[in-house]
Amino acid sequence: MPISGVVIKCQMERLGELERELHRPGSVEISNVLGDGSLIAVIESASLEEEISLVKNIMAVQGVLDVRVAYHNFEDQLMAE
Amino acid sequence: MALSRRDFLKASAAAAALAAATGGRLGATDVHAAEGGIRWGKAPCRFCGTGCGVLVGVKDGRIVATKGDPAAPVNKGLNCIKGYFLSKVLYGKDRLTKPLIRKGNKMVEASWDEAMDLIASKFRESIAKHGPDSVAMFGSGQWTVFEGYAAAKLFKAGIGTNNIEPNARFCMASAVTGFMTTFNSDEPMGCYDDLDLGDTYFLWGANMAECHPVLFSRLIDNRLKNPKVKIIDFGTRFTRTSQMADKYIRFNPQTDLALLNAIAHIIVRDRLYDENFIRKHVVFKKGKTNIGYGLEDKFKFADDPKPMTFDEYREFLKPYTPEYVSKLSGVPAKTIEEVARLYADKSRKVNSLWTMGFNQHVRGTWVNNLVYNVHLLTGKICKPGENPMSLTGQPSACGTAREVGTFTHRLPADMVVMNEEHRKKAAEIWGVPAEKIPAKPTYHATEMFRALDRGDIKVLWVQVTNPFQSAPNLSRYRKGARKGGDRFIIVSDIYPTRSTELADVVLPSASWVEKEGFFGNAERRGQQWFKMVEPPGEARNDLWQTMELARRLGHGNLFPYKYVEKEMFEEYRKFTLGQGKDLAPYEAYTKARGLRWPVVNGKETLWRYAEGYDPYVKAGEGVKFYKNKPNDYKAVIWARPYEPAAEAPDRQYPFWLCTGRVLEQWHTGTMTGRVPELKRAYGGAVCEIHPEDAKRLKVKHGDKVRVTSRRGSIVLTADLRGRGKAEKGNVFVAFFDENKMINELCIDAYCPISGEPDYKKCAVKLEKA
Repeated sequence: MPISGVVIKCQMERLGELERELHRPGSVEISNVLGDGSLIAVIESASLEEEISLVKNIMAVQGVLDVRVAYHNFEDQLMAE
Repeated sequence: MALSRRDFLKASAAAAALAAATGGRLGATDVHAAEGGIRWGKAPCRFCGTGCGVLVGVKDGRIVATKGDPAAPVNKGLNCIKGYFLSKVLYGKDRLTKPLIRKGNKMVEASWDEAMDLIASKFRESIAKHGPDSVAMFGSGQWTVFEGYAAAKLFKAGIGTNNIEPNARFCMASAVTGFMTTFNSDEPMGCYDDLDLGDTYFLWGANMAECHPVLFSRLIDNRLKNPKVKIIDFGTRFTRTSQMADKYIRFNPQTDLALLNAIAHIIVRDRLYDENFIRKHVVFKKGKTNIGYGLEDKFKFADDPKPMTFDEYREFLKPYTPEYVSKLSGVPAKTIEEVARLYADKSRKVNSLWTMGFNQHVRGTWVNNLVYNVHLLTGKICKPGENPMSLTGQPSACGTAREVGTFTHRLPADMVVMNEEHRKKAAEIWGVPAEKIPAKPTYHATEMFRALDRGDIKVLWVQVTNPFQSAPNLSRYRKGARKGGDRFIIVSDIYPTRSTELADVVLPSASWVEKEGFFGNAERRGQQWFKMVEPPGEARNDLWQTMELARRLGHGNLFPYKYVEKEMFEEYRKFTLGQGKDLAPYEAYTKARGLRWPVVNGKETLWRYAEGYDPYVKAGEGVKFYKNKPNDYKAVIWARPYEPAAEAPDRQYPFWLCTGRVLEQWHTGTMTGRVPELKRAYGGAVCEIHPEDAKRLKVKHGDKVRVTSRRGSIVLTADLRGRGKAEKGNVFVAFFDENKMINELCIDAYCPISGEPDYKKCAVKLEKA
């Protein structure tokens, strides 16, 4: 199960709404809200496919300007392969 | 995985993201303790030309994790979505692990000795029978500096032919000739810091949000902090970039030439220019016009520059009134006026950024010249936060193809084979007689594949690229490759591709952190990395492969190194010292997160030609274009007219076809195509059509459409709802899909000065399939 840490850059006026809208325990967990319009999130998923799909869905949400990846660990998946 | 370790990893993920987002003020920057057994090393990203820093985590000989490198100034700890599959591209199930030799229609496994003996014998035979110009090397901007340097040295100083080209000819050559004709030195004066410091950003033919996401994020961050910032997107297709820009300006294909002249027209007409800057730093010139399109084999062109006065330049601009250019371009005259004033606004720091829309253009050199004209007229150049900047699409298009000089006409550090002094200097460093390096360039990339088709080139070695999917007018060159006779093709790659399928020998290569490497990015930043994992099976790096051929051809003396990479780099560095392109000692790069040349006394240069930043500019000189000695150290404003595309829509083929990249797939998809998740996310190329055109053709979203040009025809799925939206009369198709090779439809017309083909404009028709 890959785990990644991402920074979600949001339109400031939608930051609060997006924090609630995007938070999904077990898949997208918002850990911090920053004053510059960024949300810090940990993404967990069953596969890399699901992980990329989650990120692409976040990118498509109105008010999300950008998603950037700070950390990605996929050792479980490699062991499974 | 134990729950506690998983919790540790989640905490590490959150801490790394928080640290990156806050510049290390918050979050733990050292999470290594929580990741027992993972060893981290630094490397630049393998994909585009941005040059993001990555920390690669290795455990038990495999890459198990990656992080944005918090110490990397380019991306400050954050990678784009491609960071997710950066390491996975190394672990595709069909990695090439053994050399393969063609026996009839089958590729049969062979030893390295058998493969290299066969290759060397074909080189020897061909050189003996047909001369050194019958053998060739085609590499890429994905070559490490060492690989490109070794190949150039072997071909130019060993074999004695200038038959070497990179695929950068297909994507960056017009940027090079633009820089050379205007400044007499390749590569930008500015750097990525301009993305944080400027006020106005004009994007020309660049979908930065998808193709350079980290750089686009820096623009967006700048805008969030500074409400004054404006992003203006000039395009022929509405993209994610257009959506996020403050203004999207749609223009008719090819009319960027006229638009830039109209902007200059207004600046000159209304005296918005910087007279002092022009007087001190600029000369005016004109060149030949009606220069052709290179459609015929062995096309030759030589420009004939003539000086002109500012008044003559003013006369040249007169026809480019906003009204005239509005009719041509489809951009309202009022908008052209506004844009010109925005460019000239003295209270704003102005930048222009571009990629393939300018470079893959039958007048690519001219359109590069024209954007420099605007910056030179207004004096908005060589200053922190205001510069023109050409972005690159491959990780070392600058570092290897351009700086090492792996083009037919080039030698390292801006030198060219046509110049006797340059040949002498190169020969001295390489330890060969000066007459060994031929004085005449041979074939640029398109002509190289034409020569293979004609049979003038017999033996072609392709490394780190996929030209039999990426060349324009592809069918001709694919057929040419398999015409037989004495033709013999070698392809080195990490996966089977549409090029390996045409090869007589396929060599399995090492990739990225499976070898020691060095890339140079688009802001002149050289970045080194060490080998971190072993390549699979018997795969070996391209540097070893080239040196092994050299040894077998009797040119082993060209590579007398013990620590190959370090000693080769120090030799290469000699070309750069004192030339305004100075590189630092190798050791410095092993520690730094890259350094921007010229690096003098250990200090990198952020802004070239600018006093206080560039050590070559003396106190009191302000700005000095010190590389342009032939023009009295001044930059050139060129009178370059609008001329039409090589092929435009007509009654029979009524649509423009534009090709390009998408976020999920990189280049010809040979690496990203190995990530099943990406294949499912964006598995096949589609045809973006404007809804009104689709309605007229009775085509719905998801229907099959046949796209046909004068050169080929393919069936694609119509896309009316994608992220990218075609303008009326235009269609867009990405070129990554090996099963839908859109480049078969592209015309092999090119800029006569740069030799770069125009992948952005040809005429097609559409039919419901």
